[in-house]
Amino acid sequence: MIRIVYFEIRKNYLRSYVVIALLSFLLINILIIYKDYLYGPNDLYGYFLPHTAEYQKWWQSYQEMYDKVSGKLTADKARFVVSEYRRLDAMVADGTYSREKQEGTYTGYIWGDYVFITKYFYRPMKYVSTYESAIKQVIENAKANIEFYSQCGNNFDKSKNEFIVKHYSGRKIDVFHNGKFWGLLFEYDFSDLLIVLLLLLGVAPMFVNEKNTNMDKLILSSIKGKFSMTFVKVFSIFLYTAFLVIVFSGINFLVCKFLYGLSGIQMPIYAVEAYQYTPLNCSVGMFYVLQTLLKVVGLFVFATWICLLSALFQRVVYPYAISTLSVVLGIYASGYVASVETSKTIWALMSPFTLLRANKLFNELLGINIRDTFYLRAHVALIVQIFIVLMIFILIYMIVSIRDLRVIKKLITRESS
Amino acid sequence: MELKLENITKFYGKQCALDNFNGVFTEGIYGLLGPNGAGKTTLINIIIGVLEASKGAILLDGSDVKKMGTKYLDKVGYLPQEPTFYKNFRVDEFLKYMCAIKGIPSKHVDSRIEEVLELVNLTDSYKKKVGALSGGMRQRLGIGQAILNRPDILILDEPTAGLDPGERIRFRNIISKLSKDRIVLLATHIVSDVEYIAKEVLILKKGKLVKKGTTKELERTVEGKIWNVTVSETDVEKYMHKYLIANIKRLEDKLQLRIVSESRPDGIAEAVAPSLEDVFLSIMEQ
Repeated sequence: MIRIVYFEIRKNYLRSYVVIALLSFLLINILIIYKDYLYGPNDLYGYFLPHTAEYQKWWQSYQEMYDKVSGKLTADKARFVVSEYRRLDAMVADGTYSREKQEGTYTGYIWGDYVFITKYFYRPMKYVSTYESAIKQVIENAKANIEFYSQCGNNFDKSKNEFIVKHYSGRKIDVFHNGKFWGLLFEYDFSDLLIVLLLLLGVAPMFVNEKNTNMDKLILSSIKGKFSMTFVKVFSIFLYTAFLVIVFSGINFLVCKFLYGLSGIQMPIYAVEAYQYTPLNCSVGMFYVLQTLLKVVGLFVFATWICLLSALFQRVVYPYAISTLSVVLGIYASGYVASVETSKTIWALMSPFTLLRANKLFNELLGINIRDTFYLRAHVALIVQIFIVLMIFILIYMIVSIRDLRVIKKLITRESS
Repeated sequence: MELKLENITKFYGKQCALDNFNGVFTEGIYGLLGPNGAGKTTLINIIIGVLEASKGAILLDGSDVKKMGTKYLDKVGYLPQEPTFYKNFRVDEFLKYMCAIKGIPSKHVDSRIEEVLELVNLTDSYKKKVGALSGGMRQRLGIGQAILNRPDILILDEPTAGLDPGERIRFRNIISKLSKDRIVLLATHIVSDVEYIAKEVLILKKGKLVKKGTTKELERTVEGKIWNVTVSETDVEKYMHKYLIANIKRLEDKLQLRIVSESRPDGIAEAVAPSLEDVFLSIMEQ
């Protein structure tokens, strides 16, 4: 089995054009992250300033203060940030502060210092320190809702609030790290597009090549032929997909870690402000692992779809064209992942690309009503995709079983004519 | 060892591709002759197990091969028509892959590969890319992969198509060597491929087995019907309309026609010894 899988990988993915594309895409990916780092990432609407010479002092001050206040949240650190905030707030309150460049400031200007301390330290630290009480309030409200919905006989909202009570209780953040950097990593999805292209390159010719080289019959007449043409091919696709996702996710993490720092890998995911209402209770590091695994599943489903198309057609151009169209439709449908309309939500759940949007699936409580019970959309999406991949596998098996008959029939017809 | 095909019939929808084929094969080379569309490939696909017969059974030493399952496949070696294999594989890699899908244990792989490379005279090319092999070398590699599992039954589908005369002779010699202890079924539409090496020749036409026997037996069926007639160039057209011409040979200022005819043709006709090609031609023209 291992030998056949190895040769299947060698046959389809260890081709010079796939390897060259992979290396080029890795380089492009790193350059894109670096470009965002230099000029400021687009995703956060200018939250972070560029890393150009102009902002060197700004970033230097940021790093110095971050080193001072990050890590375990203590009263001393909080006092320091609050006092700095109050000092600057008082200076800018009446609008009489100096607009000139000044020595002894963090950014060179009073107003810049005020923005600097408020945006990057005071508000984030306030969020962290008040999260426990804020979430307690959410739980109290949920408990009241449970009582109310029980009386109304609304089982769906009752179960939703029960979920909140069960999963949001006991939350507390006792560390301070810059969650925005993690948010950047979670939001970054350009590498997904590159993986999709590599999947197209590697998987679309899979069955077509067997037909073009006349290897299909030779394989099918061997002891492990049908096994090789179905299970091994699908398994090799899984390995290829997992390899690509893990390599790109690993590179993304390492490059972001090198450029941005990414401290606090153990802090809870809800310490990232955008994820304050996430249903998850894991660390940011674990969330990144979860996001990677979901991408593996989503892209694997898409890759098996390409494989099915390759088994169906004689010419590779069709799998390429239909798969590309599927990417466009799939990405479009996945945009409805947070939709309140049931029909749109169903479209999103059917799309494997929804699993590539773990940031949207988990940054708030997204559920779906199934027989008056609350289920997380992420869970439903995962189950739907597993079902789809099983269906695709069965179809591939059926096509491999009858394909030869079709090929020979075609041959006979051609010869007779 | 005996491979018996009983009433093998194959329909594609309403079209009958193979009609009640019967045959018994023991060790030696069997030539399966027929034009394109005669049903050779259908028969081969049924024997190698990638196609199910609509009717009939295949028995190997009395056992139904359907019941034997993969044990039967392990006894079969197959070379498809015009294979190109994987151009990005090296010869040894390709053979290792074939060993894997044929279920040959890892510990035997190297010795088997060495054995077949020597047999097909590719030992010096084992590190070459498959894409860099000539047509003849690629066909020899095809034979090599087919015998990796030491099959009792070797099926070759149009193995000499596209080969130059030298490679064709070399290929025939390899096949002769291999036929000592196994059944070799060689499907072709090129008569000379099987004329001298086949133990028995089976001729298929429109899905039916129309004739079978040794080359001599088949030749006897057209004995006294093959003629050499020497004519001038201007008369050739007339003869071509009237008779079945098997061959035209240029003499100094005339042409010698090889005619298949029940009766003595016009002109100075000389009865000659028949060949398998004459048999094939006479059947196809009927």
